Amino acid sequence: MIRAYRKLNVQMLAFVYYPFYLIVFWYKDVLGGLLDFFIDLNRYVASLLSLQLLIKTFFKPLKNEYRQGLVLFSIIFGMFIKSILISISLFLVFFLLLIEFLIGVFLLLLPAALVALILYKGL
Amino acid sequence: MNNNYYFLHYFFDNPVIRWLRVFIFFGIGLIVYFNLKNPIFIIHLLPVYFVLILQEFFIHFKLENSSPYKKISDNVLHVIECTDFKTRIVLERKKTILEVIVVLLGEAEIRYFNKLLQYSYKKTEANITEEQVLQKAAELVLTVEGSYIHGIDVYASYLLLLDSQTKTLFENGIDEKDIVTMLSWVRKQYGVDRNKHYHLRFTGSGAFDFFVFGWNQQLLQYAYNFTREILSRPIISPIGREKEYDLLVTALSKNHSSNVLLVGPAGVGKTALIAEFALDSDMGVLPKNISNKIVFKFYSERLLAGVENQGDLEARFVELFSELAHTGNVVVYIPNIENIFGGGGLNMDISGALIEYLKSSKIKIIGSTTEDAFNTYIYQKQEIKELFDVVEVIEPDEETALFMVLEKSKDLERVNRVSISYKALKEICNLSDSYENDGTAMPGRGVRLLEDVIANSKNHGVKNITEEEVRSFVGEKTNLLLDRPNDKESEKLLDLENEIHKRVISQDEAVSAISNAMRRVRSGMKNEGKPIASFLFLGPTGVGKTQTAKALAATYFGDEKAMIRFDMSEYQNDDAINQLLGEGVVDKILHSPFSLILLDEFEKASKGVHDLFLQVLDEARLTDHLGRVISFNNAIIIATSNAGSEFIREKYKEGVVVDDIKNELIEKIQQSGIYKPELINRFDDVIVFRPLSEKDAISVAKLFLQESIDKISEQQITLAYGDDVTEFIAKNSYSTEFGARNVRRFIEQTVENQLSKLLLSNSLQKGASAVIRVENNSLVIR
Repeated sequence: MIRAYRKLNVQMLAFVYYPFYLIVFWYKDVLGGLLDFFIDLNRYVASLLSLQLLIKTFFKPLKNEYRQGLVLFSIIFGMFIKSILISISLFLVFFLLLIEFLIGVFLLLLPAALVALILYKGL
Repeated sequence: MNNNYYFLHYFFDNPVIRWLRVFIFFGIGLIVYFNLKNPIFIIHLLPVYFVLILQEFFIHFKLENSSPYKKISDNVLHVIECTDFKTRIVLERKKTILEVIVVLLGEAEIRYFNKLLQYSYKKTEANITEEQVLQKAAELVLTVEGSYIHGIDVYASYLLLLDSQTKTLFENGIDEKDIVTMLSWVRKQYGVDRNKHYHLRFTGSGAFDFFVFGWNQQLLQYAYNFTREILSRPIISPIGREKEYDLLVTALSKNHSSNVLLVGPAGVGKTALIAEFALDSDMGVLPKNISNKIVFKFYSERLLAGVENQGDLEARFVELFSELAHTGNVVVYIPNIENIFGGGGLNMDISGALIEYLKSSKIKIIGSTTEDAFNTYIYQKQEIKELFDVVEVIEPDEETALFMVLEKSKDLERVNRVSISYKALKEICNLSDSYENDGTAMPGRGVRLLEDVIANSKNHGVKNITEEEVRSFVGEKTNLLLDRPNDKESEKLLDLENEIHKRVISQDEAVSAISNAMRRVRSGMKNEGKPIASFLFLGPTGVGKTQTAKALAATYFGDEKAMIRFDMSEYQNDDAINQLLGEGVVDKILHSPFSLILLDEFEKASKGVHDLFLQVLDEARLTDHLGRVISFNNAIIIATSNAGSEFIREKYKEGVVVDDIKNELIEKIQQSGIYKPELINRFDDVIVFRPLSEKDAISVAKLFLQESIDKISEQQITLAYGDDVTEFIAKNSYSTEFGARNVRRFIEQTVENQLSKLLLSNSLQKGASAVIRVENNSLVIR
């Protein structure tokens, strides 16, 4: 019974659809997966650099320093320090986004570029 | 589409095609390499090479991870369609099921399964077909609520079918239920039904976190970073606590009064739930307002140290909580939270001072407490209770508890470099109830025993821990007899009545009852959730009630001292219960769960003590004043009582057989109010001891004389006597009122007093012999 399945004609259909499967795989799985990975990577880097926390607590005292008489100073000092840290972090994140964008565009256009290469140069 | 994917997978996995793929891939690669200087050639080959690379990606990442065509269900016609591609290909390519199994043995899941089972597969010819194996595998997958059939399911079903013919596993104590439990565990461990999607997640503190959040002076003084501790150890997935975890997360994610109280016994896994929360929050996979939080755990001792009055404690907490309100990303975990609501022996209730903070949205608190402490210190305080969402964490069922211990064992195996079999872990779960059971719930109780077993095995150089190691360790620590009785012991058990009769005269019913109880427990017929046996011995003084218990202790437990004896006449007043619990009954049972407990003169104990034993006799459990639940599951309880002695004596004098008056006697005792009917009913048996006859008194005299002879033989002096001596002793000491005690007294006053004088005057010296005689109506020693 099990081996009877091998004889089904539907096997042939699988090979007819094969190029279509490869295209779907490239655009859906590879590029979609890459996009998911980039999103994870951006979150990772942002967390690594404490970016969300720095922005969320921008107007809060540095190191939770709520002792009387020190609150205003620690808020202003905190804003100064955090401004520097946020700037550095944002620069790194934007640089990363740029690289990701370039990789994304390259992979998106790669099949078309290869076809174009064959059509215009090869023939 | 999935079916097409399967056929593509089948095609590309064909050994010839696989080699062809390798050849073309490297062949074109070489051609490209050698024609790098020819742009036209490169332009044509590059797209082909790209397609080849894409194809390999497609095979490895798409085809091999695709789910089967159909999910398993009761009405699936072709089970093969529910089998994962890899296993299905093996099933279709190999001619016999033996060949299939040999290929499957290489899978990681099956290697782990065999390691747990401590089983090494040997090629065995059996009349099993592929269809039978698949059908059985489908049944197994449905049983473990899986979606698809995988290699591990095929292997497990093959083992079960094979064992129905060979009985190899069955003889090793593994049955179908064990296989199903292990299968379910291995499937969960390897996530066989899950799509394997990997996510990159950041764990730990951000580089600049310390500038912003997470600490202040007060918090660092009284708490520590629990999240950091959790991140530094291996991740243990919570099993069987999904419902409680969801409740915890939902409660904490509320905007106001988002405080949670975890209520459950010690060891049930409350801290594990919080650890899981700490981990998920750190990873940012929870709702936004509870993601990326740091859990700080309070040091309960530090919080209460040096506090002299309620004012001190209130001031400390108010200062701490007002700072906490600013921390922003902190969730506070307070273990034993009842301590600040009047519990913990301090009797300081600071709930009033904390209400304002508990209501605030700025502070999130997780408290943990036991059910008793919750009912005593929190339940009554309506305002406080409303500020917490109560999540009950109850003791898991047997299978879930086993899974939890299995999960922990993985970590312990790795750290200690040992291997623990499934049967050993199962034995640990079974025996944890008897091992230092201070009321800790499962899985905590099991994990504690597991850790102790591992430490012991490591000390003895044992790497593979089997159920024998577990049994021998627990047996050694608790004196429990866990191994099957050997031939010598079986012989002793079968002849136990005669052994006990060497020390007890007559009283056949009592001797037979306790002998039967011992035989039941050693043959594995013991009732779970009850003591091994419980008897109420009724009878006049000096008829052998206590002696019977002592004889059992000496014969079976090795020593009379193995018996835990309580003189119940000492527990007559109102404070008797505290006195009894405080005097170490709990500790004695904790350290020697397998023991004989003698409650002497039980009728003299207070009513409160009688009520306490209602629970012990019925459920084999006792809760002490510290809230510890002590198990009497492995104890024999014998209560002796003189109640109704006069009635027994009267009937005996009338010549009535004692067995015939048993029901009348019990009724009389109940009517007199000495024992409540429910207490008497809870004993396995009430045994009436008849007064000694004069003939019995002769046997008793022989027994006691032999004791005197044994004592003096230590000084290498031999002592002999004739039958006239024992008859004389019986005639002069026999009394239905005082029984054997009078015989003992008479021997002490006549034989032993004379012997001591002779010894002190050196009339009897080492190596001498003497004879006891009856002369002039008295006993003399010459």
